[in-house]
Amino acid sequence: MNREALILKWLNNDLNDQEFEAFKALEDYDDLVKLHTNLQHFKADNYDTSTELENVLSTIKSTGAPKTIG
Amino acid sequence: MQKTFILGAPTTKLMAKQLHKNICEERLFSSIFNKHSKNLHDFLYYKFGELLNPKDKVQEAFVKLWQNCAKVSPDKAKSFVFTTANNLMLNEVAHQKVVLKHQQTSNPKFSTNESPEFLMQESEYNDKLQRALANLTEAQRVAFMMNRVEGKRFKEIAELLDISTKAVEKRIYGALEKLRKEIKEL
Repeated sequence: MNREALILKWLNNDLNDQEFEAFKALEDYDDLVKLHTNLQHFKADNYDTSTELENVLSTIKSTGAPKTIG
Repeated sequence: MQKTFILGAPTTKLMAKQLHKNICEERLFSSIFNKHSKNLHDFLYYKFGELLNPKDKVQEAFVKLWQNCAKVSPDKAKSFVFTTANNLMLNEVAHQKVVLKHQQTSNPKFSTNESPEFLMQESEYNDKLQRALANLTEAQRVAFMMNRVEGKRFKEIAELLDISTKAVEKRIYGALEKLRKEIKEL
């Protein structure tokens, strides 16, 4: 399996044990892992779905019913 | 007997579909919100950055969905809120470069146990990474960050963006190669 195919499988969390060994043997293995680790610093802000849902429901209720009723 | 059973199935499905014909019902509306709002938020964040308040745009888009709930069928709801929120962003953005904020909330152990040299190198690396991320196309950055940071697989991202899995692969691999090249050069 070539380098690109291995990296794509790694990206998609699809490597089997044997492929994972081959991936670790790639000369850019350390660079790829470092990049992945440091990317986590750029994660999107926390999003709390239940708080946001409460907010949207309270906006909806304060502005009244939908314009038309199905 | 068997025949009746086979004929029965589609009828039941059709009835179920008609019962949920629109989303002017709080429970159905809430379940659509729970299913899509975080993905929409992350999509907006990685595409436009945090300065234009992705959370507010998600709120606005869902209020508009509610206002139009009689006209939008449940299977069109995702595309309605994505399009609406994206347009709200585009109304404000002048397509400047999007710089993703470096979150300072890393592992506390990291800052106390490492040598100053190591910390300096890390900080330089992250500055380069930040600039390189800003140089990706919006499409590359969204697909790449959804994969690397939000842990989504190619197929999930394809469904989210309404594009093929192959196209997702191409965006993510292209982003990876571009980032690595820029980090080396910068």
